[in-house]
Amino acid sequence: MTLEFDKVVPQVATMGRALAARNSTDSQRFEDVWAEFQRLTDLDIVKARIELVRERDAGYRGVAPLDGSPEALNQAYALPDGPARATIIAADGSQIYPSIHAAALYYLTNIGVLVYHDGCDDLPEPFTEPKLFYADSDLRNDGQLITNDTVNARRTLAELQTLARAAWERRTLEHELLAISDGPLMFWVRNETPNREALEQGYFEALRQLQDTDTYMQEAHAHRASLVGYVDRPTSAFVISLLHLMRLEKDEVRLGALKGNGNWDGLIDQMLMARLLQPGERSALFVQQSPQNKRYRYDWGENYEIAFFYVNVVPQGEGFHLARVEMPVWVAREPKMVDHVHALIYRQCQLMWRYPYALTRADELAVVRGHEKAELDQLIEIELRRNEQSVEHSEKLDSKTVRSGRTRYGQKARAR
Amino acid sequence: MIEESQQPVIGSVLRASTMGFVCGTRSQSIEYPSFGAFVRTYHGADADIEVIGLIYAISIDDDPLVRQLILANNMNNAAMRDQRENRLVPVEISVVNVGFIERGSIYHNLPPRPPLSLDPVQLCDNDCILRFTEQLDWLRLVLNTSDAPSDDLLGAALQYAAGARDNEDARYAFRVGAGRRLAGLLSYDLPRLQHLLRLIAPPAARV
Repeated sequence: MTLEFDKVVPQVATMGRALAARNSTDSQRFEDVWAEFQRLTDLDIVKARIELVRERDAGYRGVAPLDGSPEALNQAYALPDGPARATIIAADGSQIYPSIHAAALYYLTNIGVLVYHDGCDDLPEPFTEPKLFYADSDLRNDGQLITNDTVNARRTLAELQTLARAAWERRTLEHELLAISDGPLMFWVRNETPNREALEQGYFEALRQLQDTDTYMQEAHAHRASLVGYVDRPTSAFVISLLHLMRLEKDEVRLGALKGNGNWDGLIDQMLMARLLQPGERSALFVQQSPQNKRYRYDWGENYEIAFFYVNVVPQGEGFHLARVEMPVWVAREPKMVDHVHALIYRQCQLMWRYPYALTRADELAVVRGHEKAELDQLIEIELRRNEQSVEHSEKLDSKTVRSGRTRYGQKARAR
Repeated sequence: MIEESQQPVIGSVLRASTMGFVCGTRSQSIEYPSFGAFVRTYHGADADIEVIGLIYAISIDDDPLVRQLILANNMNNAAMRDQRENRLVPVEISVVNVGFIERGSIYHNLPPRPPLSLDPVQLCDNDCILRFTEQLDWLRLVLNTSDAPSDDLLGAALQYAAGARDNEDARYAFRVGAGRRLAGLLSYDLPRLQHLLRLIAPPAARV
């Protein structure tokens, strides 16, 4: 049965009306938020309030100013010139999840990397690192097939490790280096993920290798290596949470009041930034106060806490498109490195209109398309047969093929 | 026997039938093939048939990334080189079959079997074109093809074939011979014949 649009269309109409009504109330609430944002001028008052919420362990998840940074939190910061030459390394990953319906159990991760030489005409360097996992120790945990979340965590680790290695291999290049990871820099692993601690340790070691690259470059030829995580169109409300915290009376700063953002729930930072940031401008540097970020700071050292700024990446004269650019504190506390990150990210986005070129290409290199998966499955089947293994398909998978009219032999040829 | 030459390989067969084939190449290799050029496929040493064809279309598909770059309107040389030299953006070259070579003999018929996927496709050198166009029986195949713009293709192919002759007298004689053969084949369609004769006339005669 296909989707019966005659039954969906009235629901779409209702949805449209509901969203319009919500946007109307959002705009009224937003004016209150904006007014609170405008009052956010005294850093000492903000810091005192953050101290208070930490003391009371009130579950605050909003932002705090970056330690030692003099930046006003409600100001926009102009686009700097940036370095004349830089090497930009972007990494992204994709995967094939294990499937009990396939002829053999396996999973695959594929990391795509593009090395882009900014400021010259040198040919960018693409490469990929595909890895096939089929051992029982890779696929099972306590006899159970691993979950897709586990594959995701392993892929995320592989992405950062590949990025760190690529950066380290280019440490002798005598100009600035920027490593871009797709998505947030904080590595989120579910508690039940097998070998969780080892995964986190591996991630930390990759972060440390990136910092080692920076240290080496600084000492060898006085250039710097930065690392960022790029989040496109963020829906976070970290700054809204700070504003909510600031509007509370002192005695209201309790867990209950900070579980959400009160009547500002549903508003997101993007609304604030849309009014604040002109094309190319960035926000102040913020540090999110999550337990995980605290753990980065206290387990691994203050250099590894994650800070971020928002940036409006559209070309001059156009509207607004927001990105959140995350970086470890060892990058964030160096104003020159922040300027380089800001300028290089914006330059990259101009190539693609409003998304980093190198990241687009890394994603393209990484992605495993449906027909590629089908070819890999066929290769595996052939290899199994060559080794005199019986090959059985799941009835469920075969029935899906029949239902959707797909052929196992790829697309129909279009010979003349 | 036509010897294998050092002509550039312009691509590899993607899909094929006895009527024609499509070969793929990468975008930076597009400098060699051109509309109306004679091409040949060749298999390994044990294969008995080489297919001769004419290029009738060269196409480059767009993709979302290229569209986005055009929209951004901020291209630089590094990104352009990345697109052209690193990305697997295939150029498709469509070929109509006009004959084949079997054990050194030339036939102006459709081949008995199509070339195979991944067979290399090579531009024909002058010697191959001369040998193949000594007889003009292949003109009928081009005139009757429905997939290609047959008149323009034939005009371009005959100009190629004339250009393979090494002096002006030989080129003139070839054009006259081709014109006479076309007159016989198109005696029922004088406007088409007239158009074709204008296409194959030497540049100085096109007034």
